[in-house]
Amino acid sequence: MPIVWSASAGSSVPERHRESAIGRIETWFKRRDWDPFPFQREAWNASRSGRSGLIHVATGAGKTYAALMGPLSRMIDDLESRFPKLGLQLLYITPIKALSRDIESAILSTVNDLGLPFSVETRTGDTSAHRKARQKNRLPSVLITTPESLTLLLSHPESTRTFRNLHSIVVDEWHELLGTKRGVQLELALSRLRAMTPGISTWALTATLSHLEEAARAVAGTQTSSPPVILRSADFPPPLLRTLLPSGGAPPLPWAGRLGLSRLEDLLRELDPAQSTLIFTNTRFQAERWYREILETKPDFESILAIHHGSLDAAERERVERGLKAGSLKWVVATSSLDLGVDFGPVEKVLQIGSPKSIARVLQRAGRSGHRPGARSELVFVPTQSLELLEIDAVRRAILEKIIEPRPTLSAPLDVLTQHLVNCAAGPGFRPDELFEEVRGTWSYRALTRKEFDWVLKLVTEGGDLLGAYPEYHRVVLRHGRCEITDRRMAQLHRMNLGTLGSNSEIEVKFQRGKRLGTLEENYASRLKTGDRFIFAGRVLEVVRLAENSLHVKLSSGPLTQAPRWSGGRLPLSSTLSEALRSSMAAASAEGEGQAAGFSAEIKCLQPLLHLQAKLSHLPGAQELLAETCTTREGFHLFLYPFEGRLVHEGLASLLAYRIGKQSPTTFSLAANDYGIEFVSSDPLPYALLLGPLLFNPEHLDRDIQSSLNLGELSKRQFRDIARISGLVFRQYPGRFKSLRQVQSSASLLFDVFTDHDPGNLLLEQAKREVLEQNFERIRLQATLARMKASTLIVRAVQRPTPFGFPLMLERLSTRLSTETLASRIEKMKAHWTAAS
Amino acid sequence: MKLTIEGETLELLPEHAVHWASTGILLISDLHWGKAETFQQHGIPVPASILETELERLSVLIERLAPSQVVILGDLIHSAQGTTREVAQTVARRLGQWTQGSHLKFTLILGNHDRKLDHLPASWPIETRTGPMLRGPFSFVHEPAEVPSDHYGFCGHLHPTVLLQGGHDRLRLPCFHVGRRFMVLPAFSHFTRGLIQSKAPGERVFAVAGPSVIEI
Repeated sequence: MPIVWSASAGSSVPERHRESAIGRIETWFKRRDWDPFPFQREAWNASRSGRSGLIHVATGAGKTYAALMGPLSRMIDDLESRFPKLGLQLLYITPIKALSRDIESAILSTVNDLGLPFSVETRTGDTSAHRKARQKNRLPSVLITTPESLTLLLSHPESTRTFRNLHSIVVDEWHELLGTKRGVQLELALSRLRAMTPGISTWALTATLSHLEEAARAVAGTQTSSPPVILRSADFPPPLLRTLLPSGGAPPLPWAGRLGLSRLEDLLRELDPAQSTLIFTNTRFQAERWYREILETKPDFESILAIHHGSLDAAERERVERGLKAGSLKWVVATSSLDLGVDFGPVEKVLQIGSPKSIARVLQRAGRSGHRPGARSELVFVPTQSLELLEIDAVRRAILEKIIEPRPTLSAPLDVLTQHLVNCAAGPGFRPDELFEEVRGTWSYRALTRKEFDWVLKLVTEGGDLLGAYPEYHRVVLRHGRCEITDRRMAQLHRMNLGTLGSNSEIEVKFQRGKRLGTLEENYASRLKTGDRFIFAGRVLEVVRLAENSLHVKLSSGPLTQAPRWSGGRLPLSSTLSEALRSSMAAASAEGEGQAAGFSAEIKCLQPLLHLQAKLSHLPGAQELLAETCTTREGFHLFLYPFEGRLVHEGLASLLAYRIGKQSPTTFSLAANDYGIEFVSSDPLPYALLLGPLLFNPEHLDRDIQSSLNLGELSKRQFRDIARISGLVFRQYPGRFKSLRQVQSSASLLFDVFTDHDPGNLLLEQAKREVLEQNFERIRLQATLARMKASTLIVRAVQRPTPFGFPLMLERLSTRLSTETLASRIEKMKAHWTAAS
Repeated sequence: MKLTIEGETLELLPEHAVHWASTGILLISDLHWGKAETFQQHGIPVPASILETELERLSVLIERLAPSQVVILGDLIHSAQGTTREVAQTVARRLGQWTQGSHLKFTLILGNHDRKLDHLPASWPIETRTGPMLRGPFSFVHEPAEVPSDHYGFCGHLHPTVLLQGGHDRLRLPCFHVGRRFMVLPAFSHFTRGLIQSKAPGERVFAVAGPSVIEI
């Protein structure tokens, strides 16, 4: 049943009360000497008339009030009606659990100031069981929650009643969710709410986003009677971008490396104990190392220095956030965990160590400073290696041209749909025909076919095609046309494993007395031995023992024996930034003195390196593709520099290796970074062949990528998340269900089993598609190949790795791929293998 | 791959089995029949054709080697509830085919998974025993800890695999782990994944690489 509603149907507010509610809010603003912005008033009106939409404004420009006051005014109007509504009316969804408390207090103080009798509460994974139980009876008038907690609420049979008075939903930081499976899951949850309670008005708040139409459609659904409203504040002033270049006399920036500790002295000069400063890094490991370095050099400032990242204990993170707000902490070394925030008020300076990675990230991080109206935000870059100067130059160009990364939405991921079907069945249950229409009403599943839906339905009710009518399979039961979960244990198992986030199991790090410090990945923690020393949470810790689910540690001062590691921390350069990077490169390599005058400080600083690259090899111009060959003790190297970003390079590397392999079987080692690709082989590589136009042929690209993928482990790796999200493997299960130990298995084993026994399984297809679309950005790969083919290929034989090639050599080894038979591969490995433990 | 242990010749087969040709004994371990069905009962849709494939693999092996006795070193079944009537029937049919008109005998050394069932389905002509089975210089047990001190042991339980790294390549393969006192067989079932074994001095590791067995 399509959900159709009109503006008037969505609003139960009698006309004569409208003025009074908005009047109260206007008065409240006036008392504060605030004048509502035009976009705020527009948002109130649109929301009051039941419409949905998107508010796109800079951080701190008042989007929360824009979204809040419309729904609040409807709640005020309702107070005057004969039977005021009970329970939940406004749902506020934030992707970040840590922000929920700040939002709660902001909304609560507004409600109290206005003298309104509404209850405002939070419900997240951190909410106490006691409060959750109370909320189960009746939700507050305003509930702040996360996408996961909302999905969990929907998994209870009484949810239809819980949401019957809901009229407004606000989704904060929508750009954080858009294009992710979390976002897709939220879309599905929203579609469920709209079906339960027709006429809900949904608003997304976002900063730093392009493709606003699509973003608005995704949050409002495709079934709205009128198109979603898109509101923007006045133009964003672009942030100021500055770079800490090596000071006079200091050695130039290194050619490679990402940690950047050699920049410590320069960075310290930027720090002022009176100025609150965020020092952003790109990985948790980098944050830990920098924190220690700063602390060891400036021990006197320990009391104002702190570290913040996603693996630290929530209590510690909150302490840091409070300290930053209160002004007691001044210098905070952080990762993306502090990219977002309600308002950290007094942040005066933002530093970025290492590559900016994406334009959106630069805008987001710069936006952490200058929150006062009219103040312009600023970001100071601390490059860690030479070529990052080029990236900074590229970011500046892109921002001036108002270019920002698009967030492509995912198309119909079936793993998330599988979880949704089970979730609906655990809740009030569903009729397949109705749910199909409901799901089709979301942006992400607008093109879902009935065949795909039925496949998923069959998977959860009968275990798929291959189980036949297996009588004992009862995850979801179809009875009298309704799908339900009848086994309480199944429902509980589903709820414990709900969500689309992270698949790594974590080990808690704590002191012997019990104080929790945070978590480490199990893979890493299980390799630690008693007596090992590593840094974590800004401290040097010594392992006392590894217990069941926790690592007991004590403070130590001895030398480190281990570096903490987190997998998947490294972001590739965004494709939009890569494109800007190529323009910067072309501009920098353009000949002529007149040109140089217009160079940015970064490009001027990079000149000596570019000259060296030109001398040792070549500096590629706009229409050129550079390749270098080199022979070292390691073997025969080939470097290729498309400057397309790591993801495209990885895809390109596998594809080229596959196409070469079809002609002469050999094992390569491949490396890719944001600038290029390196091949190394112990056999002399057939370079002439490799670089021939044949390999850049975009024909049969899909087929060849598919074939090269089958050789790699990529789809198998991708399948890990898919298996978990669709409920094939469990991350957690209730301890008392002992029998579940018999069904512990790994996603990779299931992947093998499905590949052998059920090659048509759509979840396998999805794994392949995700690798193709997300990891390799297929469309770009095709464009890249076409561009490379049209370029002039310059091949240089070099004596040793050049400034471009050197970073690649150091980053070697992310992908293994072979076109040889198993036996000859093993024979070759025999030469130097180790049977590792 | 042929090995001589205690003066006897044994062949390590890429089918995850050991053939002691002079006595006609075929050793296999950790078959985990009914594992897919166990998963299905817990709402995990694992293909039901797994059992048939596994039975077919054993069938081919029996046909080729024509052993007089198949000794299973434990964990024939995966769980009690996975041993459904359908599983019992499917297996019984195969066992009937293999033993019909021949003197082929099946012996199961009970493993930890087998003990979840009070007894095997009556329709399975399989002799079971709890303690070590002794034959010549050898003993057949489920877990390494059960190997008697005076007989070289053959056991399973661990599903050993080996991780190969050489140059820039990496592979994980099932393996035979041959020690001084006992040998651990790889799991016969493909629907298992076991521990990565490290090699101590004096031990030998033979990996199953597709159609061949290669010493590491």
